[in-house]
Parts: sequence; structure tokens; C-alpha cells
Amino acid sequence: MALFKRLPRLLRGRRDIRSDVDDEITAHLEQTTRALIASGLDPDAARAEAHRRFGDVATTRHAMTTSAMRQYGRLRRRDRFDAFAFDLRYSLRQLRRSPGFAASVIVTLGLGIGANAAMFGLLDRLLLRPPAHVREPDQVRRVYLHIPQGTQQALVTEVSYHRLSELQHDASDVIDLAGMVQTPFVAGEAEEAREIRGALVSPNFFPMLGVRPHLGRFMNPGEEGAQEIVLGFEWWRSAHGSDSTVIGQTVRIGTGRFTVVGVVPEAFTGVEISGVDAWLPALAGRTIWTHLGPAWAHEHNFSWLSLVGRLRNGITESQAGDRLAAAYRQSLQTQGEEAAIGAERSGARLYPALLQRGPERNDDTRVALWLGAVAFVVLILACTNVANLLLARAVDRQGEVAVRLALGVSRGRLVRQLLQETAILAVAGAAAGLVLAQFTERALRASLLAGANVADRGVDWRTIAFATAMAALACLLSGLGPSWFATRTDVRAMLSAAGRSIRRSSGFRTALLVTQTALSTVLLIGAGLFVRSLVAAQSTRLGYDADRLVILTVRNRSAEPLSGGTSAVYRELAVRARAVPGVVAAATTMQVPFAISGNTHIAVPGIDSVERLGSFRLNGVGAGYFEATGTRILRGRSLANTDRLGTPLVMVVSDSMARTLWPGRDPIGQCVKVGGPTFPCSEVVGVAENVHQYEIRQESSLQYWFPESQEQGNNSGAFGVLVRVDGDPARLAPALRRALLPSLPGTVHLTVRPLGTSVQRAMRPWRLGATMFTAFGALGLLIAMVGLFSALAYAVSQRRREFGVRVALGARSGGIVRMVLGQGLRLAIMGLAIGLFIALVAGRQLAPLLLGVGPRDPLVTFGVVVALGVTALLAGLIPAWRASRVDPADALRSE
Amino acid sequence: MQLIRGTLDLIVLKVLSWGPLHGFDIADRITARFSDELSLEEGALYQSLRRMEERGWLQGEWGMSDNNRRARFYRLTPQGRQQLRSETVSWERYSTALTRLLRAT
Repeated sequence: MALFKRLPRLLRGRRDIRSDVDDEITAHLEQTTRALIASGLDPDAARAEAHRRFGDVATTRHAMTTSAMRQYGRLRRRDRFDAFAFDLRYSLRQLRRSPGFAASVIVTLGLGIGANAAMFGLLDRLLLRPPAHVREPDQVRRVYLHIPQGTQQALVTEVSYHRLSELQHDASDVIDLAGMVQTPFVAGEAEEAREIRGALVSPNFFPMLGVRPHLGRFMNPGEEGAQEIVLGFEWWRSAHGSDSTVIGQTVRIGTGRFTVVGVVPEAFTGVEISGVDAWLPALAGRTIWTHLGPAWAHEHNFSWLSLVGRLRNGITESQAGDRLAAAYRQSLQTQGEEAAIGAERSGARLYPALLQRGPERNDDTRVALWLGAVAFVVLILACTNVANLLLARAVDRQGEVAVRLALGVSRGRLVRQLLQETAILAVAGAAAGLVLAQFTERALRASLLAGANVADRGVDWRTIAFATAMAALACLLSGLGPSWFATRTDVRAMLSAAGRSIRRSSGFRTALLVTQTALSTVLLIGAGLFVRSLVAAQSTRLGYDADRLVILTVRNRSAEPLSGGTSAVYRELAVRARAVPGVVAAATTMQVPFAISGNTHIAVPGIDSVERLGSFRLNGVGAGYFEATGTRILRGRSLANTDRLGTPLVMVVSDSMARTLWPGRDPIGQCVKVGGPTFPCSEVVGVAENVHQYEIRQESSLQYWFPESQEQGNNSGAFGVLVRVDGDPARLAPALRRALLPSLPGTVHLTVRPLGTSVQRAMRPWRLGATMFTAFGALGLLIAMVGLFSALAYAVSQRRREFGVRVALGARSGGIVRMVLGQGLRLAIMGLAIGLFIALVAGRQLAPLLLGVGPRDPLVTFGVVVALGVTALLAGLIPAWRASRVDPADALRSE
Repeated sequence: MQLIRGTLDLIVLKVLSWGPLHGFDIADRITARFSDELSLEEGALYQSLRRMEERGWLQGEWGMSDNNRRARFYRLTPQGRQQLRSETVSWERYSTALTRLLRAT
């Protein structure tokens, strides 16, 4: 073999090369001198002549040494590679010999790495990866404003167009500010019409982000009301067949016609993660929100634009924040007396461009972060399991290792070779994990990022890089200990014991088992907390019967406004819906739970600036609203059919609102002026239970209802119809739609949706948390159980002789069983204690996500303790039974 | 007469094609062949040997010389033999062309 032939030469170091060269030169000079002397020169002259013929020795020596060094380096590299290839072949051969072992390690690591890769892919998208096609994304910021509300600061996430213009103008030297909102559009004519994902942006949005069009151009700044549209890449591909002549054509959006001026590059979604099919200039919103009237764009009372901007060169975040705060205060002052209240305590704050890194981070992301942590714990669990397998293998291979050590293979090389074996498995595991992640991530994304980016590449190079890092970590975590253990063999003892394993690995194995138990404990505690939160969420009284309700909403696709307005359509729908079989009640509403709500100024005699107490949501409702929703009236009376235009103004308030406004007093008969102090009194006639408008986990519910027909504070108009059905809303919805469609004008698009789907979506964080924690917790418990079982079984087999002696000396089998079970329980208790401690520390971070349960819930802790105790007993049962059945004669003879 | 630059390698390869030799013998053979026509700087010869060894044309190994002294012997590798063939061809072409040019009137 080439390696061995080269070995002697390799043993020489660099210093040897120098002397080698010197030797050669000296030999030559000597020989020349001798030859010259033989030809008759005297020694001195001969030496001088030899040197003369040779030339400059130093130069030659240097050149020769350099060449030799280079050659030496190259040979050494080649030898290293040969050694690596040799070890690789050796490792592969070893692994081929035990395919069961290899397969179980690959599957275990594959699961661990796959879970991490999938979670990374998701979290990367939510929190790490900068938005595509944006120039210098770290200079882009989201801007949030805040105003004082009560003792706290309320976050202002959206502003009116008017406000945007003022902020843009006043802060233009520190930030290039743009406004944007994503909202559905109806695109196309009549029957062809369908809903697309749209976005309204101020025209400076594209140049601010520094994106270049894939085709054509973007909107011109200054032409905010221009009838121009920029197409999303995916929509351009799917609906326009990637046709470049689309530029200049017109597209119907809502009630307007727009000229296509450009196409954005592929996967460009602004700074959001959800895709956009079409981009319109902000003021084109009037063709989509036709019911809002002409003045909406220039008044302050309709806030709809999120703020995003690019810091000017050399401007810091705090400089920009200060200037924006000043601009915001100025804007509030000029808006009017009412808005100016508390203006001096208002402010602005800047956050990274990614939504989920700012104050609007949602529970889905928080849960995703926790699941990322869970995935990591699972990987560590997988590593402990693999370490256990490797350890067992190391014990088996002590003979082989001893022989190799005796043959002079260095320990370093052996550790390297054993680690390499693990590395091969880890790489295979990573590959398996990436395949797994490809599917899991899609499922995760579907459930966590519903409707998000269409650029669905699944696993990308960032995920692959991450998986590789995880594989390296897994390799070190699981392989280092066992490799080190394997090479610490006492060669002489080993060889003289004729290849039988003599070293025990109990200490290391104990550590592994305790780790596994501890991690399972942590996961199970998490599972318990999430399951209890989910149960609490499901049993939360929302204030309406979500499982009996269907929501009807319409969208007008015609340029002509509907006769009598949208409200008339809704009133008509409510009447017709009542006639449909299976419908119990139906009423129009201004509010749709989990979708639409609104508020307006109110004044209450005797209370200064009511708004500082919170934001009060209004709902003008049709007749029979409370009967339809099932919202209970706690005091007083409900709204009645006799409350209409012309009769005294009345309202029903929520329990929270009553307690907030009139603490300790009777709310019935109190006066609320809807619209502000100049409007007439509405008398409170009833108190209803609190309703959950957007969140299941909600502290207060400031809410009031009045008859839509009374148009209190000039508020009128319905945004939907709530229909109460008898039976399953999902089953009845299609029939309802079929029954109602004929009564509607052809240009109206009707959506029929069971309210339960929105509620289910709101439950998602807890459901996902409960499912994942439980699944991984159970997996961890299973791993711990198997580990414990094999450890005990091994210990029993090692101690057969001892048990034999005990039985021979009269030990009862019960005592032996207790001894073995006790050994298992001791390990479990150690792990449990560590796990409970970790859960205690980590639980504090989990608290904000929990519902109706504290992070130190005694019931959950108790349940986990029982589960682990039972597991430890189960794992010990068979080994204990075996130990008690040892035949003393047999055991004593065998060794 | 001085050696033309770059021809030393070719000369050494040629000399070694007759069999393995150590540095002194190579110098000796070259001087014997060209008698006094070429003045060879022996240092350059050794540099050439090591350079060609690095390139893989030669392989050097310590051994015993005829008069029982340690000496580094060089032998041609198959690569070196190949190199000698191709260099010989290109040298012949070059010298023929150059001669023709110089003879032209």
C-alpha cells in the first residue's frame, strides 16, 4: 500500500530537509575536491577550485531547500487525505456490519435535526431573514406611535393618510417615510371577478425600499391618486402568463380601472411575509372601500396605513424617533382640541422592518419560538439516545480498540476515527432530517403562517447551513463522550481478558439517563401547561355562541354604488336569512368578531375625557341581535324592536364598560353621548356580559350596543349579518348561501363563513403548543424509558452472580425486586428534580402565553411526577423480575 | 560558452535517461560529453535536480556510491521520461527553425 511505502520519508520533519540538502552539497564538494587532488592539485587549491565550480553555496542551498520543502508539504497533505480516506472506508465498513445500529442512529438524529431545521425555516422567515430585494434592509424601520391612555401608553399601529403626509413632511430630513396596508382587492369584471391579495402604498414606498422593477416602472411620486397598478410577480405569472406586453393594459380593481405600469421582482412582498398580487397607490383605496365616502382620505378619523421608512444617512434611530415624536405631537395639536389632549405625552418609536420583531409580535410567533426551543431539546434528547447507543457499541468494541492501540495507532487518531463514524451518521441524519423538514415545514407554515408568501421554496440554503451546524453539534454532543470512553481502554487487561468486556460505563450512562429524564420532565411540564391553557381557552365564554353563528358579508364589485347602500343589502339579507330553514335568528351588525370593529368619540357627563379610560367599541345592531348572538343581558333590558329612529336613544353596555365608567353605581339610566359632548344623551337600559372581540385571552371588554336605526353619533351602516342556526353552521353554510344568492344583485359577492373558524384560528397557538409539547414530551419519555430499561437490564445481567449469592443466602425475591426497582427510581427522581428546576426557571418566560393556569401549576407538576414514576417502575419491571428469578446454582457455576 | 537558459533541465533529464546517477556523476558526465564547450555551474545543477524532483520528474534517494560513500541518487520517473520526450521534440523544432532563420541571407 502506497501509504506504507511513503511512511519512512514522512517521519522526517522540516529540519531534516535542511540537513539533507547540506549533506548532498557537502558530499559533492568533497568528491570534487578528492578528484582534483587525485589529478595533482594540492588540497587547499583543490578545495578552492571545487567551490569555484560549484558557485554560490548559499543561493543553491536556499533554492534546493525551498523545492524540497514544497514537495514535503504536498506529500504530507496527500498522506493526510489518504489517512482520512482510509478511516472513512474503515468507518463505512464498520457501519455496514451493523446496519440496525446505523439505521437507528440515523433515524434518531434525522428526527432531531429535521425538527430543528423545520422550526428554523419558520423562525428564519418570521424573525431573521431580511425582506427580499430591499436595499440595505438594516436601515429600514417600522415606525409606531403611541398616545397616553389611562396610566398607560396605547400603541398606534396605523395612521390616516393625512397624518402620514404631515409626518412625511415634518421628518423628511431624518427618515424617508412611507405608508402601506395589505387588503384584499376584487379584480376583474363581473363573472370573472375574484379576490386577490392587494396592497395600497404611498408612491415613495418602492424607491424607499430600493427595489428595482422586474418590468416597467413603479408609480410616480407625487401622483398619489394616479390610476396606475404594479403587479405582483406571481400574479403576473399566473393570471397574465408572464406576458411582458401587459404593460399599458388596463386592469379592473374594485370600481376603478388601472393602467399596468410595472411588475415587481419575484418574491418581493415589501416588508411583510405574506404575498401581494397587486400594488396600488394609497389614494386608490377609494375604489375598494367605496362605502367610506369621499372624505376618508383627508380626515383623521380613518386610520389605515402602517408606517415604514428608511433612515437618512448618518441619522440614528433615536434622532429619527425624537423628530417623529415631535411631528406627531404637532400633528395632534393641529388636528383639534380633543386630539390635543395628552399630545405632549405622545411619542414615536422605531423597530426593525420585520413585523414579528416589533411590538406587534403575535402569539403564533411566540409559540413558534417555544417550539424552536422544544425542537432543540428534542435534538439533545436524540443526542443522549445516540450517545447511549454509541456507548453500548464502544463497550462491545473494546477488544478491537485494544488491538488497534496495541498495534500503535494513536489515541487521537482512534478518537478521530470514532468521531468520524458518528459524523457519517450525523450527515446521513441531517440529510434525512432535511427531507423530513421539507414536509414538516410546509405543514407548519400552513398552520402558523396561513396565507403567507407564495414563494414556497421550502428548504433553502440557509436551512441547509443550519442543519449542517446542527449535525456537527449533534456529532460532538453524542460522539465525543463515547469515543473518549472507548479509547481509555487498559490494553493489557483487555487483551488478557481475551476480548471480553471488562469496563463498566455506569457513570457516563447514569448521566445520560438523568439528562433524558430531566428533559422529558421539562417537555411534559410544558405539555401540561399548554393542554390546560387549551382547555381553558375552549371553555372560555366568549360572550356569544360562536358554535351556532354564521357570518354573512358582501363585497360590491360594481362601479355603481348599491341602491340604498350596503346597509340596505344587509338589512334585506337579515330578513331573508330568517326565512331559510334551520335559521333561528339573524341580525345586522357593525362588528364581526375576530374581523371588524370600530370606535368613535363618546362623552359621559361627570367624567373628564372618557378616552383616557380606554377605547370603547361601538356596535349599531339590527333587531333581534342579542337573541341571535346569545349574548346574555345581566341587568336591565335588551334592545327592543320598539327602539327606533324617533324614540328615545338607548344603549346596552358591557359589564366591563359599566364597571369602568360608573364603579359602584347603578349603570341603568346613565347617559352616554355617542359622537362627543355636543351629541344627545343615550340612556343605558341594560348591561350585557363581556364579549371577546379579537382575543380569547382578554382582560377587559369595553363595548356598547345601540339600535342601528337610531344612528347614534351619525354612526350607521352594517358590516355584516350574524345568523344563528340550529345545527352545525359548517353544514348549513352552503345551503344558506344558495338560498340567499338569488336575492342579491349580480355584482355582489357574498361570503358565508361559520364564526367557529375564526375562533379555532384564535385557539391555534395553544392547540399547536399542546400538540407539539405533548408529542415530543411523550417521545422523550419513551426514549428515557427505553434507556432506563436497557441500563437496568444490563446492570442485572452484570450482577447475576451477586443476585445468585443473595438468593443462596436466603434473600427473598421481593427484596431483590425492590432493589432493582429502587435503582431505576433513584435515577428517575434525580432527573425529575433537575427537570422540575429547569421548568421552574423557564416557566416564568412561558407565563404570558398561558391561559387560566400559572407556570407552577401544582396539578401539572403532580401529573408529571406520577407519569415519570410510573415510567421508571415500568422500565424496571422486567429486569427486576429477571433478577428475582436468578437460579443461584446456575449463576454461581457460570463464572 | 554559457548554457542557454532552460536547457540545463533537458540535459540533466537526458543524462539520467541512461540510468540513476548522483549529482557529482551527473556533473561529470555533462562535462565529459561537452568537454570544454560548456561551462557548467554545479550549484545550478543541484537546484535543477531538486526543482525537477519537486515537479515529480525525478525521484531522489540516498544510497552508496561506487567508492562506498553516501550519495543522493536520482532516477527518472515515468513522468520525467515523458517530459524528456516532449522537451526533446520541441527543442529540435526550435533549433531547426532558429538555424534556418540564421542561415537565411
